[in-house]
Amino acid sequence: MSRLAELQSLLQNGILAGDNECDGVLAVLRTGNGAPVAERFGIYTNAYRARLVEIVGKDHELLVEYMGEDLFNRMALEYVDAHPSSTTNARYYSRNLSLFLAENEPYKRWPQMAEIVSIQTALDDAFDSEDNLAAGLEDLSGLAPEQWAGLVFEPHSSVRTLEATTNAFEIWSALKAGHEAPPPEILDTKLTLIVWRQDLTPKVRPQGYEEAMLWKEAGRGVAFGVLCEMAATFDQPETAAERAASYLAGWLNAGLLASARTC
Amino acid sequence: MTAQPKVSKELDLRDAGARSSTENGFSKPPFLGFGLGLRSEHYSEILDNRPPIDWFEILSENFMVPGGQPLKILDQIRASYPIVMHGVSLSIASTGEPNWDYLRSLKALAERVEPRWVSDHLCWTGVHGVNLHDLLPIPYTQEALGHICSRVQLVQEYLGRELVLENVSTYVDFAESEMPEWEFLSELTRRTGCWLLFDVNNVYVSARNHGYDPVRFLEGIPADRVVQFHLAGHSDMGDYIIDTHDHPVSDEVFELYRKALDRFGPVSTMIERDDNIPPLADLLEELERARRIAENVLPSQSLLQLNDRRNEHFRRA
Ligand SMILES: [Fe+2]
Repeated sequence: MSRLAELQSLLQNGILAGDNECDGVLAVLRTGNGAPVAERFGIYTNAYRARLVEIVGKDHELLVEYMGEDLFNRMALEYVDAHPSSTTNARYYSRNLSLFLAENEPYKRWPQMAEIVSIQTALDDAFDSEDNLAAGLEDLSGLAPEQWAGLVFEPHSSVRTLEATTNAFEIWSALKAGHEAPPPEILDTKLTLIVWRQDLTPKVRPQGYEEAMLWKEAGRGVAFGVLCEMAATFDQPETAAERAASYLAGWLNAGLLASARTC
Repeated sequence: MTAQPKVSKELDLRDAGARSSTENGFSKPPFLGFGLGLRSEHYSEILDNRPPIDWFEILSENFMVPGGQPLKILDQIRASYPIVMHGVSLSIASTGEPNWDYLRSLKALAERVEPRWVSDHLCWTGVHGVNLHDLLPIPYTQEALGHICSRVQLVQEYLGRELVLENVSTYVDFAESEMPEWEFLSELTRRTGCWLLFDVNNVYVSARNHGYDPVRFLEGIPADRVVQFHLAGHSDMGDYIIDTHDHPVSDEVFELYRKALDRFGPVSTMIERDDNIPPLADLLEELERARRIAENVLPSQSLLQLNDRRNEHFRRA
């Protein structure tokens, strides 16, 4: 190992450990002017934590509001210690936060917190996801009636779906609108949330059970005719085609599909 | 909007005449005038009013994302203004493996943006796969110099362009350093052909923190290798100064800027504000102060050419 590599490992370990007084580090630094060398090295160790906590807080402003600053700061410091950054882009530093909250005490006792973070993370990912044109209703205007059953779909590259076990979406929406958050609840059945970008704006909305099921199948390449049959077994058969067509119109109007074409 | 890419192309041609060549075939980047760091707080004002700012410096990492609004806005701004790219995660002094994913993404962005130059800092940001998101100090030794020179050469070869490297603010120095920072920088630029981004505030901060005269730093840097100045604010803690970029530029830093212009001549100048971001008008006022200092120090010829170019540019835009 070169001397430069040795010095870099030494400093990095001191910074990660938050140890201003780290003997090994102090031994290689010049003492002299002004403040003691431990205090100067402390500028780096303090800045490291403060900077990452700030990044997490800026990414998750609604979570800060929901948790309150004290609990948030305590949690964020724990996150920073558990997750040294490996990304060259601070934009991605808090990507493990949801998992961290879901897995660690005491935060896992409040599962809505991890889910609030998942919603925000999905929106942020949709915000700067790959550019990709969206299909519109007009793409189907020339279609003959017998061709509809063969339509297959490709989701827009910005789309992400989440399954919430709590009323996190309700909490997130209230906070976003500047209202007081409702009390947390565990839902009887999981709620599917679909997150995507329409033009430049990231969006999120819940999907009903039937729509969520059909969306998932459509994303696997199942053709529209089969989706209609699935809808017929799921609920009233007489209106199944109508319901499927109305979901499809919604997907196209919202920019959820990259393409809709006959195979 | 549709006519604007043409404007920037014409600027390119005009700038080409002002370039001087160097021994290794690359030419010295042009004097762009007085610019600002591009910050999202100012996007709409810039796009709506097209204020007369000569150029913008973008933070490369902010645009190293797959798509969406950031890149869309950047496309619009670069159609009207010259752009330079400034990164924080190159970690050129790191002894870890070169980060090829980062370099690939940086190169792709440079191909899209076609910046006047690409800069980062003379520092390391982490080893062993960790990024500390800070600009960490190096020992000024022959060993470190050799390592960093080989990294600069590698990156320059990969990007197909010369790098511009910036001096950082430091709070500690290594007992085993064998030369002052300015000697290290001079040797680095001499051996690799990289250019220098002279951060006037960082020189001031490091000089105070380590107890030397900033003018010694200034005079130790070769006069023809500096292509950009940063001006920024700091926080004076008494015993030391922290480079916080959350205040206006101090009088002392403006005074050092005057001396830097005197030594380095017309060098593209900008204000770097990263926190506590004021309205654009406040930054324009600070930038105006820099411009007035330059008008006093520099031969009027060098600024005249710039004014012609600017007037022409904004008439078209
Ligand atoms: Fe700087």
